[in-house]
Amino acid sequence: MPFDFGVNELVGFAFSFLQREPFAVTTGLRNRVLSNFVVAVASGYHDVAYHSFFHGIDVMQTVAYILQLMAGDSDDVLSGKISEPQSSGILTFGLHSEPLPANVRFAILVAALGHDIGHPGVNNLFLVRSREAVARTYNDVSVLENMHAALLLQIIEGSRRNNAFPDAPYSFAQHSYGSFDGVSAAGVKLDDSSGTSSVTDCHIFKHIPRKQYAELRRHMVKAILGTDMAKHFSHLNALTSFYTKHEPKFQCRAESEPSSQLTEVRRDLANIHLIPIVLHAADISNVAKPFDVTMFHSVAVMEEFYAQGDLERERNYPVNPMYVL
Amino acid sequence: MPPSCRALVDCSSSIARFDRNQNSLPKCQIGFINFIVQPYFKALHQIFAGFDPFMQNLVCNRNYFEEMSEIAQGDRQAASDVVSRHIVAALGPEFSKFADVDVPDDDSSDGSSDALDEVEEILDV
Repeated sequence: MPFDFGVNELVGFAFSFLQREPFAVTTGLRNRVLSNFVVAVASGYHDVAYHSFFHGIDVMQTVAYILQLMAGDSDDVLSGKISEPQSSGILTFGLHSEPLPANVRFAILVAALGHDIGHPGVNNLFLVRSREAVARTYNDVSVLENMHAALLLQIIEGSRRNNAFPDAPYSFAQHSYGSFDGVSAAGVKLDDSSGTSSVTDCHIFKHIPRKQYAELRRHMVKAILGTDMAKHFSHLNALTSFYTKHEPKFQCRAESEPSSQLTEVRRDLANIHLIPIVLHAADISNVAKPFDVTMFHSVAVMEEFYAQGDLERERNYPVNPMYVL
Repeated sequence: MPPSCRALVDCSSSIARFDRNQNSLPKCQIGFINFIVQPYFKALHQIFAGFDPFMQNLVCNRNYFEEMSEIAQGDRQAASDVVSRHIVAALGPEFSKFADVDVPDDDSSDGSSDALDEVEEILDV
């Protein structure tokens, strides 16, 4: 069976993937800290059909690939073939006032790796309907995404301020969803409040200036919250209105554009929050992969939907016409 | 109503989409490609060159899934309309433009609208 990796292989892959990142190499991120972090993230994921650690790794890798495409690097690692750009797209990160900084890039990849951490295998709607404690904590708004971001930051920053939310999401893993036993799998073992000395160091940003970390933290939170499917159309809206506004400039790309116009394009592009847009793209990219990969993911995601459907039938929840994922 | 139409429309409703007793995988994936993923990557592709691998895979995969589900063209139109309405209903009228889906014109549009009426009746739209 392809893609049938054990958790150790996945942890090894994620570790060596992040270890090679320019940020890790140049800032002197310690291997020990990075491996602690990856192991903690891996154990934070539940063994559900789709939203498992595998999904986190898959999205992280896809983000890296998309960033490569956007930077105009046509070395196509996936299909092995280089295709000429057919569209009018000329804007890349390279045209940005400066290329994507290594620390921001690293933060996106970390956010991608942990963007579904602690996913119980049921969606926001289900949690809200069931009046789960975690849904109440986040007032029914982007419940899972809020929880993923909080859990990831908890892993990075350690467990000292664990008691800020005693009810959720940390007791959440113990909830049982009937027959769906993947949910009650081992939770995040980080709230070891008995002694701070036993807490492993997972702070992969500890060695950089605090102010810089604060900025990366904002990026990560924003990116993870942006993976809520409810935000899909606002991401799309940002892209299409940018394109509509600047389309005339794309048309006459043969001539060199006046620099004042390019400045405007750059400014507008900077105002689009590209990081959440890229992470969301990777998150929904399953069906944009080669067909065998797509089928592998499709079966897994449907299995998770079915498991939720079984629970919904059991609980007689009403039919909801909303397009949700 | 044609069963294939019913199944595609059902993809937009939580319970039926999540029902393992219906073999809904290809239809769900077609719906997901048409209404969510394809427009999104198209928008990215317009601005940033180089998304061709994704765009090509999307076309191939949709063809594969369509082969798998053997959805008739006319049924797709009817079902697309309904799902588009759900998008608008769920997210507001300002998103109506995103709900427009490229479906080739079809001569059997009369039959489609019949199917659409039936669908709406059942769904109480």
